[in-house]
Amino acid sequence: MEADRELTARCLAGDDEAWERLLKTYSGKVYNLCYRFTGSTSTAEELTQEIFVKIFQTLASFDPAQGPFGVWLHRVTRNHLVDHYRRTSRDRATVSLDDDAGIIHPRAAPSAGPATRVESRERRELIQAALAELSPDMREVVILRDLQDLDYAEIAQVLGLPAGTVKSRLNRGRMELGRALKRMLKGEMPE
Amino acid sequence: MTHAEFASLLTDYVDGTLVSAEGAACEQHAAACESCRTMLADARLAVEVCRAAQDVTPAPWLLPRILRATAGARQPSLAMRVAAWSRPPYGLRVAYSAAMALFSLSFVLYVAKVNVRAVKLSDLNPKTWIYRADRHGHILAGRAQRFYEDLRFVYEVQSLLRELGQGKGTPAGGPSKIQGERGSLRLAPSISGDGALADALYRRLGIGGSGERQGGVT
Ligand SMILES: [Zn+2]
Repeated sequence: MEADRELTARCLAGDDEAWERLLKTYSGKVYNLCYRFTGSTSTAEELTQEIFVKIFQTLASFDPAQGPFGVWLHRVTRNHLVDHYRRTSRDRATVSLDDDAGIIHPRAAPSAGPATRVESRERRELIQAALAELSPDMREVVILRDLQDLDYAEIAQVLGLPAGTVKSRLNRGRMELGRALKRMLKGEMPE
Repeated sequence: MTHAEFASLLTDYVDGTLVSAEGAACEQHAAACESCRTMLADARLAVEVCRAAQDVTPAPWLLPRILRATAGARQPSLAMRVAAWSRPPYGLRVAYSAAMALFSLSFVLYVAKVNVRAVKLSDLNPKTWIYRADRHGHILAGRAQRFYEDLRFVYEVQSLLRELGQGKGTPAGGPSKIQGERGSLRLAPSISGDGALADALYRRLGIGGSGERQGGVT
């Protein structure tokens, strides 16, 4: 996109206003991706800040000829998240070895009565809990496609995988996510 | 259609991106095959729930916090300090010119072998620079010229803005277009537009009417 190209060029020239605009445009996307991967709003905040500090420092390595800024941003974010998992799973490994070295499981929903829970929050936690049941490979493809709305080619670029692999992981990921959701919906609403 | 064929087309079928013939074949198979129908229902549920999921909104303090951690941590350069008191589109150009002037100056001083700690009056004479720059003469001449132009441009705009005072109407014309290629060292301080500031600037620079300024300095 031409606008992104100009915006990043201005950022590189030291234009703080351009940087602020870039932040406003993309911080939501990055934050959402972090939240979907970690299931924690405070961790997502920390990670979003770390990622933008990284982007601020490495923006010069973004090459518009290699693809759109959004894809580069997702790749940087995804790589940072992978590093984060490695870090935290190493920490957690000393506590429990049976963790799947992927997502940080969302905190169990407080067992307050259903009426006190906000609906969107409930749904949000449901998705996070269901996503946590997927293997990391499938989870990231489902998040990028169905929650971040990237197309196959973009996901392939972000993950450095052939488009065919992306598609088959998405296929399996969706089915597993659907199964997990079905199970949870049944469990939550016993008839 | 086999189960395997159905499975391989499932993603596109759910996304609705199949050509109608393939879509119809999938529909037929799903109607007849219970296990594939279940697969389809699961995939559809996943997509529906994901699509219905609202974006999570970051806390309001996140953006300012990131700004402080990034651009806020940067020491304002001379160019940015100049830009801070003059507004775009002139601000940017002035900033670039100032930065380029500094760059040129440092190069000129280096090639002309000027000792910055003990500057003599003769050090400030461009003739002395040319005389001293035995090997880099041709580069020096170009750099010195640019330095002079950039510095003059900065000075002219600066003094003009001081005269006009701040906030006396923003000059017309869209946001500035940065000229020059990505990564190039030189950014021409050309100006165009029809604002009062621009006109006054043209008059000051001795260029009649509006039009492009091409760094024409004696
Ligand atoms: Zn079948």
